[in-house]
Amino acid sequence: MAFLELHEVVKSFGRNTVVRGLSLNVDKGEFVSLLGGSGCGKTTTLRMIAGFETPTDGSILVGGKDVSRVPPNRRNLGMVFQNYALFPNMSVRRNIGFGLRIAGKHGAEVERRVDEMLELIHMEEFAQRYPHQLSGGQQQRVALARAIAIQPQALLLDEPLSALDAKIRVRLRDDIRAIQQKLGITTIYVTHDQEEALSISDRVAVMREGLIEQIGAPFEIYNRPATPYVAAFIGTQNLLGATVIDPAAGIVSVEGQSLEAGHPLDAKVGEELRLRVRPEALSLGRSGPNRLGGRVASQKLLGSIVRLVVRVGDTEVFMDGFNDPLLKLPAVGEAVTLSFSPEACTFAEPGAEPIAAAALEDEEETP
Amino acid sequence: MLVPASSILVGSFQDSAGKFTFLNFAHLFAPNILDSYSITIQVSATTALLGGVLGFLIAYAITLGGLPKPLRSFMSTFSGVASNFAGVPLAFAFIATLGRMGLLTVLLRTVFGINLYDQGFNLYSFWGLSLTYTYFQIPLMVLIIEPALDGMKKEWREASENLGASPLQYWLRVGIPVLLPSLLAAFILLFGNAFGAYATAYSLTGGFINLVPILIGAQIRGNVLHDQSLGYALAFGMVIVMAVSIVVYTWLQRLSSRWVKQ
Amino acid sequence: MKKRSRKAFSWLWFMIGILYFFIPLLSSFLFSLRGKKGVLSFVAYQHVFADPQFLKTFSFSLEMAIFTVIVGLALIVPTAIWVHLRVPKAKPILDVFALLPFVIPPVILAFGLIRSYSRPPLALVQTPALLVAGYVIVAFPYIYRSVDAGLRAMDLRGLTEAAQSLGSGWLSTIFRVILPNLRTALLSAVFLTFAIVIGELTLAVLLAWPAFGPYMALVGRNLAYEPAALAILSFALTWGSIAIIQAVSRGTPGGRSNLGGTH
Repeated sequence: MAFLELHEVVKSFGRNTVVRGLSLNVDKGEFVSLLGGSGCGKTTTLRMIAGFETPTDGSILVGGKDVSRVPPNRRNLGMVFQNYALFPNMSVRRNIGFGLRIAGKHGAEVERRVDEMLELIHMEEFAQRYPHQLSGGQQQRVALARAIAIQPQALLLDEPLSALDAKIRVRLRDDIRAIQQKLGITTIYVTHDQEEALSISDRVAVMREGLIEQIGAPFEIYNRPATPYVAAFIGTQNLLGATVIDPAAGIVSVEGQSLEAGHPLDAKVGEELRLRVRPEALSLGRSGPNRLGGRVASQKLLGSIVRLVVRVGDTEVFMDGFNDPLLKLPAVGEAVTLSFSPEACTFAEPGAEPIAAAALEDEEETP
Repeated sequence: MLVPASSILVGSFQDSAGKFTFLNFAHLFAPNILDSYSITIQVSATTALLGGVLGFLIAYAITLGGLPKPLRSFMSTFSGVASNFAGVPLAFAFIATLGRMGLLTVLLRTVFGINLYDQGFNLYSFWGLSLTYTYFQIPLMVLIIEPALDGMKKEWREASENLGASPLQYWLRVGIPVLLPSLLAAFILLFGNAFGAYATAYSLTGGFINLVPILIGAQIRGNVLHDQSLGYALAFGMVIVMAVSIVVYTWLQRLSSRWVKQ
Repeated sequence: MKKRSRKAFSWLWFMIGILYFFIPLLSSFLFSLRGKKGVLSFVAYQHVFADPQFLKTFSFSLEMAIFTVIVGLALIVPTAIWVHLRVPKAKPILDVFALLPFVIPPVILAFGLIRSYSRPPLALVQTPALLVAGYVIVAFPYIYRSVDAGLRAMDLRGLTEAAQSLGSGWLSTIFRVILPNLRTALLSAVFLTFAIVIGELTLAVLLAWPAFGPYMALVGRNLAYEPAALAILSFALTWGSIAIIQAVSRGTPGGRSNLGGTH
């Protein structure tokens, strides 16, 4: 039996249903992210687990006990908020010790535990500071320490990094994961940032309109999206119109060029499909069995990645490669051949993904 | 540009004959003057406390209490009006309410058989005056404390609940301490507001209660200064009380703004 | 946490507040209708309006209010703009000045005014100019706060620099760019000043001018029902002013900044 269970949880605000019968099982010590765009119900789900919202229907079990109607102050779950929510009238030390004092712990015991926590977040020298004297990243560390000081049954994080700078975000996210693994604490992490979710989670649940579209390990989510929505939402995809030529052999034609799917296709001859392939699965030259010819339309430098935009017939295809000072890129207008392996492509019904490839760019820098 | 203002302010500090003398301040310690200071401070403190507590609860109701939005804007507008509704008309309104023939007095007597005036109540006394002052103190408190309550983050309450605190524990350990500078500052402003009030007291009691402002007023009725040195001494004492209030007020404001912004 | 009990608690205090505010108003209103024995009537209001003193004192106060607004705006608006643009360091000083009228109650102000201006070369005590000067000081915080809020709400530096880069001179920048953007702030300052000055008692009594405030006090001493009618009228006047401010400043940034009055 899972440690944290959500059964058919529904939450409506008036006529507006935000969560529509969501079920989720989280094992003890597991790190699960709820990933989705705004309004997908991820924060509401977390707030129901924390007890700030009561489910309209369904039940929430922690350690086999139904807590759906238990007030938040008796659930013993640690929560970290987006805007830190440190008590401004208390020093770092007192903030971290707050939950322990409320629980009626002895002064010496509180102090010892607070010292442990300060060491864990590497902020021993900031113990006497007040929240307004700390940077955002430091405040969020303190908030994390405050949440785990009470030794909660599970840790809940609501977009904890979204108010921070990109650099600090990456560092703190690694720290969160390290602390989580060290303590073996069950963790639910809400975020809209897919890179964040993919990089630190044991499992990622992609949410959409109050339901989980797909839940699985990061590799599975990224490489084998179960639904068109997940495929479109996670990472960048090239979408190519493909005509089925030989379903049994898995042969299709894209812009008049023949390609292998690597597996039999469940389609009729002449049927129109969408072929999805990720930019990083493509390479320049004739190395792979599948080849597409086209002309370079533009180059974009995305930091460690160089993206070539290649015009193949009427479609623009992205190809990502690692940046390298010695790299010789083809000039704009030059004819090139892109190749990729059959395993790199997946297929979808036409119209299932009405979004153009260019619109599927990562939304890494969404504020 | 501000010369007229400042010259008057400075001028009111100076001694009577243009020379420096301590004689004026000796007047301050005459028993009747001390009495009038004491009663003024009592009235001011009482109404600041009464208005402060009621105003705070009302402001809480309209900000964090989950009441419908229109009620909030109604109450804010109304507070703007009511805190400006003072002086003569306010005195009339209270005479019509709690005077000998006032609505509430008559109502209590005829319906409940309680005769306020037999119970020792008198509108023209300490408590009558305090109740009247409270009428403009409450809305002033609502206006002052509303922004501070808005600054209270929902997440603070949630975080404290999440850490196991009851609502009462939250208010005792987080809510009240965070608001304390704002509350004290508001109290001081209300105190000063009542301390300097002249019009209401003048038109309500006609000088029946020896409030300091009334006493000062009595020295200058009819644009002639009767007893300059006494007036000065009184004014000086008053300025000192108010100046201390305002210094504490600005200091507390700074403290609270430092806490609330993050 | 029980949201329902919090809500009930809030409703309770809201209703107590409403009661405390409205009972005196209701009482005055009912009282004002008892001008004629045995029946409810508006006789008291008729008496009020029929009294020539009412019109005389009211229009005197209105005049004073107009002068106060003119002098107050002429003094404060340029100062505030100048301080915002040129000497932002002086702003805290101005902010403290805006608090001073709270520190120095009107009673003391009157005292100081008479003292400073009763001898030559500034024998102003006999002229209404002294009253206006007092009112300007009383109204200073309100006007200053409105204007300050209005200036802070707009990007003053950006606007003036943009106007100047487009070839506008100082005067035309102020009149064509800054003032139009300050419109709502100025209007709210004007109405607030009116509301305060018209009912003002302290300075008028102490400087012995036949203004509306002293008239009301006089009526209150000698008559029974008319004062209640006056109270209702005065309340309606204040309410009207504030309602106009709210209506004007709705939707524009930096609107509300009214704090207290003269008591």
